[in-house]
Amino acid sequence: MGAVTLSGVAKRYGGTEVLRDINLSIEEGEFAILVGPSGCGKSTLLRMIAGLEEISGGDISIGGRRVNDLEPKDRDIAMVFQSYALYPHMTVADNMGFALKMARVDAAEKQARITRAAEMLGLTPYLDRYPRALSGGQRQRVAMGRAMVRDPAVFLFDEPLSNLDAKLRVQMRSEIRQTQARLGVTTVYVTHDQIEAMTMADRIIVMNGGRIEQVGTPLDLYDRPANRFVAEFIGSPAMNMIAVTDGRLPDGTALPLIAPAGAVTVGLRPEHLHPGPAGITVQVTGVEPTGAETLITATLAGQPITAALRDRVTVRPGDSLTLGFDPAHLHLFDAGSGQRISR
Amino acid sequence: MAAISQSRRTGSAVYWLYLMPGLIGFVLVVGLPFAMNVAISFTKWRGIGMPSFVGLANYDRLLGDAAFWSSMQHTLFFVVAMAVIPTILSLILAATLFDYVATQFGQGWSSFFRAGYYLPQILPVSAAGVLWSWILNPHGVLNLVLRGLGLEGSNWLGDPSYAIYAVMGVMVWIQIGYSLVVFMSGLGRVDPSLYEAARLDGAGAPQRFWYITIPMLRPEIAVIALTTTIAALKVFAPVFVLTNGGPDNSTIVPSYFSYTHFFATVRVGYGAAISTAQTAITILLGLMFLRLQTRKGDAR
Repeated sequence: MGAVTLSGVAKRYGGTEVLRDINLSIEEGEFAILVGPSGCGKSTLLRMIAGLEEISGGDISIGGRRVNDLEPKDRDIAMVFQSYALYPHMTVADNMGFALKMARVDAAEKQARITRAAEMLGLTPYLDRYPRALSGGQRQRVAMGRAMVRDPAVFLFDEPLSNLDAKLRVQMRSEIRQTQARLGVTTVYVTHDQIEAMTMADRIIVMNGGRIEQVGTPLDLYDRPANRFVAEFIGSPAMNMIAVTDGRLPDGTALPLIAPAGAVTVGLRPEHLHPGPAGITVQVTGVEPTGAETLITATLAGQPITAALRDRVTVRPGDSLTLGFDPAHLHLFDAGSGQRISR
Repeated sequence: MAAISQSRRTGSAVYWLYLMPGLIGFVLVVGLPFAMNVAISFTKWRGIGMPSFVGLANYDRLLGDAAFWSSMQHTLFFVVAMAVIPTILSLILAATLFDYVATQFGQGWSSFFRAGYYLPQILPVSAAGVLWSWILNPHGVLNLVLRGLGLEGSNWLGDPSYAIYAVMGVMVWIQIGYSLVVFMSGLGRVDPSLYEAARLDGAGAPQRFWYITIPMLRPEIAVIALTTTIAALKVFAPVFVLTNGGPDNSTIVPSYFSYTHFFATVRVGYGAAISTAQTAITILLGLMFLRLQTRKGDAR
């Protein structure tokens, strides 16, 4: 019912192409997250699925039905906006029931749906309140509830957690995920926060510069990034990228790893480095203890490198530090194209 | 304690210092003339010589003066022409320019129309009056167009049956730009995602207007309704320029009525009584309106 298919979708503003040849298939019941830096086109793509932006090329299907020319209300979708877009002059119950009122749903049925959604989201005590009398988390839930009562085939979320503080964001992440799993509704979710994407998604679609860089499960993207962009975007702190030519660093130091001849970029995640007797020797430039781990910023033959160490180390800026790693954790990318080199 | 008290006194003195320029202006330009007007309304005075005290005689005469009540009745027509119709029309126009013209044809066209509607507001009333006198006179453009369509024209400003409606039409034309600009700036602060959410919720353009635009513009509507109603209660210049209150007093309004008594018949005391009554009614309506608005705001 709620599968979403995009075939050759493009978006142009005048002569500027902001999305090109987007091909994507989101399975029914799947929680798919569009992630990427600001301006990559993820929100535009979501709005095109919603029908709030016109499509310049290609086809969008929802539940097997081509929806290119359908009005947003006819696409069987519900959307949660970044600002929540709650009607400030309506109570929580009226906000949740507005779509049903527009659809002239029977009053008893409307009330039943609002009650059911409110109970599921813990909003029952707040049904008579206005949005301004609610906390950020409660408003977020009302926006969810408004989407739920419509019983749509697809939920669309446009950065719904970006207005919440860090603690509430973690809580709401889990609530949204649980609610979606309970309802089993296909969900397309946009965020620029890769942690949000990693923790919530069944599949992540990484976008950059108006095109899809890679689609995969969170661990796929983490373990086997298709290119440098995905490798650096997924994971925090970002993956270290070290330029290597014929197995040697720019200063001639040989690296203890198996690398093909020629120029490559070696990727190594900060959390895969550990203090050890053998490995690479770096010059420490900064130390940031966070309690759970210690972040070391350093240089390796003039190239910046970060290590996230679980073990507590006593080093200071200016010290030399030898960091070991498992060669299985290395990623190799073509120095020119940035594409992954299979090993 | 003494130090705190001293500091409060100093603070209070500073507030008064800041208020002084405005207060002096208010007393000189509004307070004092109004007090003098009230005082004169209890006198019989020809504008020169000493006024003679007549108590409430002017007010007694006012209550029985059919011309005064007729002018008050015309005021209601002007409330419709200056407050009710322009507010409704400009709400619809603002929503159309904002929700349709700007999105379909671009912001430039929306701004162009907004400026066009606002143009009558920057025209001097005298120029607008001359312009509309040309349009509405028996050999004017309107009659030419009507005759071209096979209809019969009329002496729009000279016929007592039509004059008030003709002046009302001009007032709608003048007033619409003011409320349109205020409503459009009000719409500019409304989160666009509310309209998108409403579209997703199945609301068409009329429903978005009714359920989103009007409630979101409630503060602006209140301000416009109050200011235009007050303007209608004291309207003078357009009537002076277009009809001089005629024909047969069919467009006379309290301001013009008091003006004729002040300067034409030189019954200054009676003119002052008309002005005082008009001011009292305006203040009363204004206060009632504000109170109603405050209550509505509190209830929400």
